[in-house]
Amino acid sequence: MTHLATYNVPLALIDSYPNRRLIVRATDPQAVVNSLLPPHLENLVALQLLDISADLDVLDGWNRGLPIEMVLRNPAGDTMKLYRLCRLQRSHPVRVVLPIVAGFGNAARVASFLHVPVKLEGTPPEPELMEEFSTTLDFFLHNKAVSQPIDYFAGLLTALLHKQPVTLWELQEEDPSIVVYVTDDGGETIARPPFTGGEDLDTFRFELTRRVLEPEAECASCDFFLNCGGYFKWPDDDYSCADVKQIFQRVREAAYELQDDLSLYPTVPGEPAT
Amino acid sequence: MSNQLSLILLPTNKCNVACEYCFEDKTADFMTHDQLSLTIEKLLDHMEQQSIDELIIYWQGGEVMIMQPAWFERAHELIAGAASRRGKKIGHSLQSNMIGYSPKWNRIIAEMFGNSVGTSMDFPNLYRKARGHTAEEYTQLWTRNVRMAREAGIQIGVISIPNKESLRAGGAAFYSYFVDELGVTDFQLNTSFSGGELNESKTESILDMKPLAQFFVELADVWFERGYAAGVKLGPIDELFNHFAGRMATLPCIWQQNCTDNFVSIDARGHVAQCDCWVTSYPEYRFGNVFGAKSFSQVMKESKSRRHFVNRPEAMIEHETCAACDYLSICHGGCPVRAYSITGEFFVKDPYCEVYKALFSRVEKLATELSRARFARSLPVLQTRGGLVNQGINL
Repeated sequence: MTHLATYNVPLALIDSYPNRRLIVRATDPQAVVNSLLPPHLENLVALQLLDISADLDVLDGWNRGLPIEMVLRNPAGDTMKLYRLCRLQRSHPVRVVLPIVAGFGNAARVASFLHVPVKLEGTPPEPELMEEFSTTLDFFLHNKAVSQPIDYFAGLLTALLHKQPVTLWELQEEDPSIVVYVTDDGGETIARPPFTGGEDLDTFRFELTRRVLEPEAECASCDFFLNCGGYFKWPDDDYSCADVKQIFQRVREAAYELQDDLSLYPTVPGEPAT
Repeated sequence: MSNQLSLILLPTNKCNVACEYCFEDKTADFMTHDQLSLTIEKLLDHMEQQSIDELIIYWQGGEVMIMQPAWFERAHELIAGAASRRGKKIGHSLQSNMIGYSPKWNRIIAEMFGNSVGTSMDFPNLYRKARGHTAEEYTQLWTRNVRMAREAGIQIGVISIPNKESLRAGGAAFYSYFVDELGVTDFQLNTSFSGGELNESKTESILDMKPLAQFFVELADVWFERGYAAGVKLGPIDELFNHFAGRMATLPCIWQQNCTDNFVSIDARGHVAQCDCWVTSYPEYRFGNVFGAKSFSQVMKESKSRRHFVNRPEAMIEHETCAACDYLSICHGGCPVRAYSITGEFFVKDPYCEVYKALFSRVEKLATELSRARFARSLPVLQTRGGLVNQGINL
C-alpha cells in the first residue's frame, strides 16, 4: 500500500512501520506510555485503546492533544464505564467506537450526554437490531443534548446536506487507501471487523465497485450508492440493504429539511452559501 | 479541554457563628503560613505532574474572617511567589458569612479577591444565628455589613437555601427580598443537606420535594419575567437558561460529570476530601492528609475513599434510572453529599432529583419560548413555516 496511508498497528509492531503515519492500537495504556519513544511520537496520529477497564489515568499528562479512540467491544456491559473518558477528555480529544450489537444505542446515548463523539462500527446491522438502530438515529437527529457527532449518521447527513460524493468508506476511515489495519500477526487488511484479511488492498475499492454495480446487483439501482460505495456489501456481497436504505432515506429527508430551512435564511456577505 | 483545578481551602475550621443547620463539624484549628506554603508546594507538584495550568482557591471556613487581613496579605505573597516560580496561575475567591467584616478587609478583598465576596443568607432566616442571639439579630448584622461592603464597592454574591417559610412566602416574595429590598443582583439557590451530627433544624431543613420543586419553578418564572432582561444573575436558573438557549453555560458542581475531575478540599488540619461538605464532617470519606503525605498526587492516587467518588457516576448508570433520563447530560446523578447525608447511601442518585427535573423542564420551556418569540419577530419569510426551531434537527 501507499506510504500516504495511515496504518493502524498493534503496539508490538510499531517498529515495523517506520516513517509511516500511525494509529497505535493497545490494550494497556501504561504499556503505551512505557513503549512509545519520541521518534514514535513524531508519526503518531492517534491512539486506539481496546480496554476501557484499563487504568486511563496514566494518559492524563501524556502527549496532550493526541486523539484517543476507545473501542467498546461490549457496549451493554461497558456503558457505565464511559464516564472514565471524561477525565481523559481534559487532555485529549476522545472518540468512542461502538460495534452494532445489542446495547449499542444506550452506549451511544450516554456517550453523547458526556459530549464524546461516537463512531458506529460499519458492520451491517442485524435485522433484530434495526429498531435500536432507528432509535439511535432519532436520538442523533432530534435530541437537543447531542453536541457531538454520532458517525456515520453525522458524516452522512453532512455529505447529503452539502451534496458531497463522499462514501461511507471515507467517512468511516476504512478505505484502505486512507487507513490500513495491521493485524496482530502483521497481516494488512480493511480497518473494519472481521479483520480477516485476504483482500488485495490496492484494488479493493475498484473490485468491490465493479462487483456491486453489475447490472442485476442491488447497488446498481440504489439511490444512495454515491454516498455508500457498496459499504454494506463487504464482507458479504449478498447482504440485503433493505433496512439500511430506510436509514439512508431518513437521513436524506433530514438533510432536505435542513436545506429547506437554511435556504430561507439570507446569506451573510462573506459567508459561504449552503 | 479543561485544564483547571479548584481547591476549596479552609484555613480555619473555626466559626464565629452557630448556624443550626450547618453541615460542618467545626474545630478550633488554624492553618499556619508554613503549613499553607507546604500545601501550595505539594499542589504545584501535583499540577506539574498532571499538566494542570491553573488553580482556583475558594477560601472558606469555618469562617475565613476569623483570620486577620494581615494573614491573607502574607498568604497572597507566598502563593503568588510559589506560583510564579513554577509558571502556574493561582486565582482566589472568597466565601464569608460577612459577620466579621469591617472596612479593614477592603484592601485585601480588592487585591486578592477581585473586590468580590460570596456570602450566604436565607429568606426568611430561620437557622443562621450567632451563639446566644436570634436569627433576626444575625440578619440585621449581616445586612448592615453587606451594605457597608457594597458601599465600599465590593461586589456581593449571595447563596440562599430555601426553607419551609420560603415556600410559604413564595418565589415572588423570595426574589423581591434579595433583588428589590437588598439590591442583590447576583444570587444563587442551594438545597439543604443534613451533614454532620443530626439535629432538629437539619432534619426540618430537608423539605418535601414536591413543594420545593414548585418553588424552584415559580422562582424561575419570576426571574424570567423580572430578572432576565434586567441582567439579574440567579444561579443555577440563569446558567440553565444559557444552556437550553444553546449558549455557553457554567453549571454548579452538583451537576458536573464527575466532581473528582475538578474539585478537592483541604481543611485547616491538612485533611483532604472531595469538598468542604465532606472534609470536616465525614472522616471516613477523607482522602488523606496533605501535611503528612509524601505528595498530594499520592493522596489523590492511593485514596480508596476517592475511588468511591470517581466510581459514583458509573453506579448511577448501572443501578439508577439516570441513563434513561433526558437530562443526564446536565445532571449525572447529582451531588454525592446530598445523596449520602439524606439517604445514608453513597451510590444512589441525589434525592433532589425531582426538584432538578422540574427546574430543568421549566427552564428549557422558558428558553424555547424565548427562541420562538425571537423567531416570530424575525424576517417575515422565516415565519412562513416551521423551520429549524420547530424541527430541532442537530446540525
